[in-house]
Amino acid sequence: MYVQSLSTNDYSVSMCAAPKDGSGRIKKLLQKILDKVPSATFEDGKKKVEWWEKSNKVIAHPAVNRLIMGGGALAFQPAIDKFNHRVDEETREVAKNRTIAKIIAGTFVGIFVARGPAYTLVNKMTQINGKSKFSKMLLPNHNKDMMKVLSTVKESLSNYKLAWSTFIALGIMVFTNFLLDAPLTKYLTNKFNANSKLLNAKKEEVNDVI
Amino acid sequence: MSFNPFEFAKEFIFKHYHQDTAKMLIWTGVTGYVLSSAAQVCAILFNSKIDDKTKSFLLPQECMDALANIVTFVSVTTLTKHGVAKLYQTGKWAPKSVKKCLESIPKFKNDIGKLNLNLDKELVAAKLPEKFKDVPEIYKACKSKGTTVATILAGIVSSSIITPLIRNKLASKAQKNFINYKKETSPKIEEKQPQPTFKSLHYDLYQAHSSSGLKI
Repeated sequence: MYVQSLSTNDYSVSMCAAPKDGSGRIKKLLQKILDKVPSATFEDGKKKVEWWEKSNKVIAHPAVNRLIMGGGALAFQPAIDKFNHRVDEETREVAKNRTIAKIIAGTFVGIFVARGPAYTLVNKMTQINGKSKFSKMLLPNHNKDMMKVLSTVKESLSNYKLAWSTFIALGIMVFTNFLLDAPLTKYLTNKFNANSKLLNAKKEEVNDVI
Repeated sequence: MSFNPFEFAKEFIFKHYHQDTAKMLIWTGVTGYVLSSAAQVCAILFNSKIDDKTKSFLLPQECMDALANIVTFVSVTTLTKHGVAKLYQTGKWAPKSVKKCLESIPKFKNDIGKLNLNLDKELVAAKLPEKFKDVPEIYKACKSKGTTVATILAGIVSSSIITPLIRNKLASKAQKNFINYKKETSPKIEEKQPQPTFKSLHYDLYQAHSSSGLKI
């Protein structure tokens, strides 16, 4: 607690000085880190700004976002499983096949069953100029301030739609994960395992020994 | 006034996400991982075509996958999102017209790249000259794009590189423990030491000392 000194003596002022604030040190450290990062200046212009807004809308779209994450996963995860030398060859092969199956199943179901339809539905239910009750069902109609922001501020409505569609997609995923994702993953894993040269060679070895 | 959960949900989504899509991507990503892993664990458990030894690796792998995914996804993407947002807010990263605007206003010129400058608030509050009237919109579009791209890239790095490396290490350990446990609990078969037979011992001695040509 800082107590203001009544004396003009500097010494007594410092005796009543405010306790040291640790956040000053943290701020200095963050500033040092910020100083290390090089500056960047981006070319802009009307077309560039429109491109930023358009592309941001596209990559933040739940289905497109799922596709990007699925693509990234397919590029790295199977390779990491294939070169995991902490386990035997057979386990590595099955793990790699299951990872590929999981990514394909998850991405396919995510895009075509959950996120794509969810966004379409939300789009139909967030029409600012809609006439029916259904077309405005997901808008905060009771709150005039929010409706004003959604109608006038750029990107506000599209961000609001993206958020709703992502949440609805999550609700759909509760069911599709168990009813579609998991069985499809199992089916694809078994298919890849059956077509795997390494696993078939191991099976033949075991049969020969028997 | 009665509580209406549907209206509450609409207000909640508006308040938290109408300006910032990157935040939404993080939290929905976390929920997605939990749901997906729960389903995958069931898929492994009920897949009769995978043997127990492989299951002993895949089950812990899936559980560790969920845990590591959530921890790394939240930490890496949140850190990246805040870090990149700060770079834009302090004017360190900015479009050309925004930088021109900041350099022409003495209040902002000396604070470019300093933590005390927050363009999210300053550009809205400041009375900008007519030639810079589009600057707040340009800044917002650029910052939004930058933080969304950074969040997605951070999500890919955390869930497709960092998480698989961590979960493989932990799951491999779990499999080793399972194999050792199986070895310890399975019945031990005692190996019989081959004993020399009486007949062969004496036959060798006989052969060594026999002078007759008769061989038995």
